[in-house]
Amino acid sequence: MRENGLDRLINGKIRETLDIIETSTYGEIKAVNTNSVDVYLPQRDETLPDVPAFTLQGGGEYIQFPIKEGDKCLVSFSKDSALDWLSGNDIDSTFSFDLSNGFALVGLDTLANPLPLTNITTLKVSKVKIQNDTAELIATLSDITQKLSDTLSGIELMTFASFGTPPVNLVTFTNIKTSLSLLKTDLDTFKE
Amino acid sequence: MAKYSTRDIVLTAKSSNGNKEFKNLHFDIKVQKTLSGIPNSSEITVFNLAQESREFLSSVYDGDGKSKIEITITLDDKIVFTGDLVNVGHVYMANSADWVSSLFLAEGWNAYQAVVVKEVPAGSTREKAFDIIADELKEFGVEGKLIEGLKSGCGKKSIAKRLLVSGNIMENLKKLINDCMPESDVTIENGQVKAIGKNAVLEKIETVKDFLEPPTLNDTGLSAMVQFNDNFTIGGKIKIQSKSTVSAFGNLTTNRVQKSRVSGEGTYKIIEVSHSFDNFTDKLATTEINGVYLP
Repeated sequence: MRENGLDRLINGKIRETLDIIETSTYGEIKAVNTNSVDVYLPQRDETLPDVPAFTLQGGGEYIQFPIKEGDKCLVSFSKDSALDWLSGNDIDSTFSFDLSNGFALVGLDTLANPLPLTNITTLKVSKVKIQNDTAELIATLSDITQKLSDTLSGIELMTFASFGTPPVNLVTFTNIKTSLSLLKTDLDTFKE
Repeated sequence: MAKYSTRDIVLTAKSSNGNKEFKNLHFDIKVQKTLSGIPNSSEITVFNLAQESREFLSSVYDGDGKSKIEITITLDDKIVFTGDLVNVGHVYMANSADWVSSLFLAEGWNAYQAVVVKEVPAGSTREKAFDIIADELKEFGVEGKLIEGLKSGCGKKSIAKRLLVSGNIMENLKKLINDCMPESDVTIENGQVKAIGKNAVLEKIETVKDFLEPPTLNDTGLSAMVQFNDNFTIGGKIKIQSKSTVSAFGNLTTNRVQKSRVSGEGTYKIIEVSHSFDNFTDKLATTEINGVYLP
């Protein structure tokens, strides 16, 4: 059915309004700033500056993954203006569904380059910190391994000096130390 | 065609192809200025333009869709309106053997179409952002001029992040203004982009008391017609004075419920001004004002 003039006018206005309402869209990380990311929108050839990125957290505790240029993300735009909220101002603005109100959810893949789905929980990292306010777990494990190795060296010396025929021969000590050394090397690869 | 009027109307057209002046012709002109967010406009009917002039005006659009002809309307040596030529049509009236040309002008038409992709630095206030975006209109001969709203309060708050401004400049300015002052108006008048809050009003005030017909009250304000007067500024104030509340207000009885406005006298914010004049009949040159009541 053909639109008459009034229909065209109304539909045109509806389209114009829909065109300026931002809901969510996909993008790629173009730059990583100190506290935010810049997101390139390839479908528009535009870059959104200073977009806050989502971090899985709660109660002051968090799991934070590194973000790199080229990572894919979903940008979600809030109905209410985020400008004042993000800036720590009193909120009295109405920038609805605007490009300025985007939040980046990093961790999407294209179907052309997917992360295969699995039926087990996998945590794949290159470097990792598991820490509380007083210690960092990987460093602690690494230190423990080192201490074990040092202890073995001490026992090794004491054994040969004190008892003549050692209860554990030298080859065994050497193998244990080699294993500990390899374990420590592995652990240290997780360290920052 | 008989000529009764002594009005002197001149159209001056500026274009990259040269300038042209149209005078000693019969013109019928309507000008409408409004706060409603659409460009101020003018409809001109002009009779018996030379073929060369018709062809000149018909070359209105550039390859990029922008109007390349700007026309200034002068009435008795006073500039009444300047706008981009948006539409033009020429018709030959066989019965009167007249060429009748219709021109439609829109003030700041090219500026209204302009788009931008620009980043506003982090730490800017909304007032600063307005200036940065409005600067993009300079190439269209439009200056940014903030009237109200962003100059204080919300407009002074610093924004911690950079802002991407993308798309139509006027829409973005309107969004920015409305961010602080919902339902405010952004318009281009006399080469300036103006932002006026819903409840804001320009200080300029004109007193109106000599009406051509009784003013008509409506739910929000009034409509009044006076002899041609180009002193009215949209967003400005008018003070309505009636010589007689009985005779001066046309539909007084239908508005009696609004006790405070029962006489219709008071101060109004001008939201629309329409001029109408020609130079070949004995019709009066008129100005119609639509105003919103200011309590």
